Amino acid sequence: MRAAMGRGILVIGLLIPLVPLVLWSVTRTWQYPSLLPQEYDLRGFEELGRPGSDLLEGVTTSSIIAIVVTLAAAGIGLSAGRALGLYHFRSKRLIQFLMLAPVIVPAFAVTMGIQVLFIRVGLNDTLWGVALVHMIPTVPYVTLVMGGVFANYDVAYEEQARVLGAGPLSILFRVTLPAVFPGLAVASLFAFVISWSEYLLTLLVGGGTVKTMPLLLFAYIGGNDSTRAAALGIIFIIPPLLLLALTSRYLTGSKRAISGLGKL
Amino acid sequence: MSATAVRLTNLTKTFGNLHQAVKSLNLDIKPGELVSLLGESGCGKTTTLRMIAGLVRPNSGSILFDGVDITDTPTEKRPVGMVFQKSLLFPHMSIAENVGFGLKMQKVPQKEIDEKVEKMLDLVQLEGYGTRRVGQLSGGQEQRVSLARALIVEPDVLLLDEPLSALDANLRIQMRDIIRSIQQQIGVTTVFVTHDQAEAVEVSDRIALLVDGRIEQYATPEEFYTAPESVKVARFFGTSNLLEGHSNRGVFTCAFGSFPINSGLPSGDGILALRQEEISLVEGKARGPGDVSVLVEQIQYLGTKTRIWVKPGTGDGRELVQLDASPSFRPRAGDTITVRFNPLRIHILPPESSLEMADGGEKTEHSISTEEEKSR
Repeated sequence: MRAAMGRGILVIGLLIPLVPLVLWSVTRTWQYPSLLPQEYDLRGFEELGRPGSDLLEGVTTSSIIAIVVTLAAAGIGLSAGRALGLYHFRSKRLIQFLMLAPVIVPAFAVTMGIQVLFIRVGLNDTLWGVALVHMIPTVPYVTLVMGGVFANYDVAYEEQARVLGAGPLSILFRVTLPAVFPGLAVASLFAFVISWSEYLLTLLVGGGTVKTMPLLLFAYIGGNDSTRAAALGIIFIIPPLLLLALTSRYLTGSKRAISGLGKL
Repeated sequence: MSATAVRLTNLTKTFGNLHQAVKSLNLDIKPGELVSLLGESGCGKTTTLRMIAGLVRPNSGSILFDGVDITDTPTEKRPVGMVFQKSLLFPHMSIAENVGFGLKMQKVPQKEIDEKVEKMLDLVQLEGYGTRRVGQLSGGQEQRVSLARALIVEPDVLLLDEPLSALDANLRIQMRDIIRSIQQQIGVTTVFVTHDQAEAVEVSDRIALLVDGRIEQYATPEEFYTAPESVKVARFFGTSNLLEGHSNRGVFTCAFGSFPINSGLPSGDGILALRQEEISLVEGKARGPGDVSVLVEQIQYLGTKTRIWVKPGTGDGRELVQLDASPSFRPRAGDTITVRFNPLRIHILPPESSLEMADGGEKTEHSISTEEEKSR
C-alpha cells in the first residue's frame, strides 16, 4: 500500500512537469488565458526528418559521442573497477581518490588547460576531442560502480573455469562479463546519460562546431520559438528514458548492481 | 603408463618474503589411487593442491603427471578436474550447461556434449536435473553437479579441495560415499584435501599428513593408527597415551613399569604410544605381561562409555594414562584397579624435545574443531 503510494507520488512528480512540455511541443498558437493551446501542429518534430537541419545534426552528433564515450568508459571502468574491487596493492587509496577527483574538482577548471592542449594537437573543435573530454566525468562513475560490483565478486569462478580448460577470452566472455553484467549495464547507463547531457565541456572543446543536443537546447531556449525548444526537449529525454527502461530491472533489483557502492 | 600418476619433487612455495607454505615436498601417487592431503588449516595442503592444479606457481620443485613435467603448463591445459569447497556453479547457466562447460571449451560438438552431460548426471544420481537453474538445487546436489562438471572432461587427475566442508553432517557422509564409489568406479587418480582425520581415513587409499608445510607421514590409513612415525602423527590421530621412557634390549621402561617390545629397536630414550582402546580392564591381580596395577585419578561418564584416567600404582610417577571402560563400570578416584597394556599394540616413537603429557591428544582435536568453526 505504502509502496504503491510512493510510486504514485514519484510518477506524478516526474510526469506532471512533462505535460506542459508535451503540449508546447505540438502548439501552433497558445494565448492567454486559454488553458490549452488553440491550434496544434508538428512542425517542431518535422525538422528531425529534414536533411541538413540543426536538430538532425544534433541527434546524430550526440548519439555518436554518447555511444563512443559509453563503450570506452565501460571498458576502462571494467578494468579499473576490477583492480580496485578485487586486489590489494600499494597506494590503492590514493588511486581511488584520484579516480574520484574529476567528480569533486569542477570540470571547468581542468578543461581550460585541456582546451589549450587540444588546440595544439588539433583535437579542438572535433567530435573525437569532445568524446575524449567526456571521459573525464564518466570514467569515475563507471569505475566506482564496477569497483563495488567486483568487491562482491568471487574470483574462484574464474579459477573454476580455468581448471575446466577456459582461456582468458573464454573466461571474460563466458564467466566474468555475465556475472558483472547487471552492474555494467547500470554503470553504462550513467555514462550515457552524463555524456548525452554534458554542456560545458562540449562547448569549451567543441567550440560551437560540434553541435550536440544540450548546445542546441540552450540555443533554442534562448530564442523565441517555444514550440521548437519544447520539441527538442522531448527528443532530448527519449534516449535516456529508453535506456533507463531497458536497465531498470537491474536498478530495482539493486542487490547485485549497485549495492557494492557503499563498500568503496 | 608410468608407475606414478602424480609425482611432486621438492615442491616449495613461499608467500611474501617469509611465510613458507610448502617446504620441499615430495609425494608419489599411483594411478587410480585416492590420496588425502590431511592437516590443520595453514599446513600447506590447499597450496599443494592449487600447485597441482596450476593455480599457484611453485617457487621451486616440479610436478609430473605420468612422467611428464607439467610444472610450467598453464592450468587450462592441464588434464585435471577440480571441485572446490564452494560448488561455484556458474549462476547464468543451467545445470546441463554447467556440466558441459569443460567440453564446450574443448569445442566438442553440442550433440556429443548433451549425451555426455546426461551420462554424468546419471552417474552423480541427478537424472533429469539438466534443465534446472543453479539456485534450485540443495547444497549437496550442487556439489554433485560440481563433481560431474569436473569429471566430464575425463581428467587424468581429480583434485578435491575440501568439497564436503560446506555441507552438514548427514549430507557429508552421503557425499563422501558418492565420491569414493564414483572414484573407484572410474578409477581416476584423486587428490583429496581435508582437515577431517575421520573423513581422510574413510575415503583414502593413502594419507599424507602435512604439518607446517612438510609431510609428516605418508601411509595407509591403518598405519596411522598402528604405526605412527612421530608424536605429532600419534596425537593428530587421537592417540592420547604417550609415555616417556627408554628401551633396552626388547624392554621399554616407563613410569607404569616395563613392557616387552620388538627387540630389534635400538636402545635409548623413546616414547611409548598406546591408543586408549588398547588398554583394557583386568579382573583381579596383574598376571600376564602388560598387566599393571594402577590408581584411578579421575573418571568421566560419557554415556556409551566411562573414560578413566589412571596413574602408576607404585612410585611417584605423575603421568596419566587414559582408557575407556563399559559405562556401568564406575570406580572412584583413589581405587586401585588392574589394566592391561596390549603388548602387541605398544608402539615406540622417537623422543620429542618437549612433550606435554596426558591431554595432548585432546588439545589437538580441540584445535581442529575450532578451525572448522572459523571456516564456516
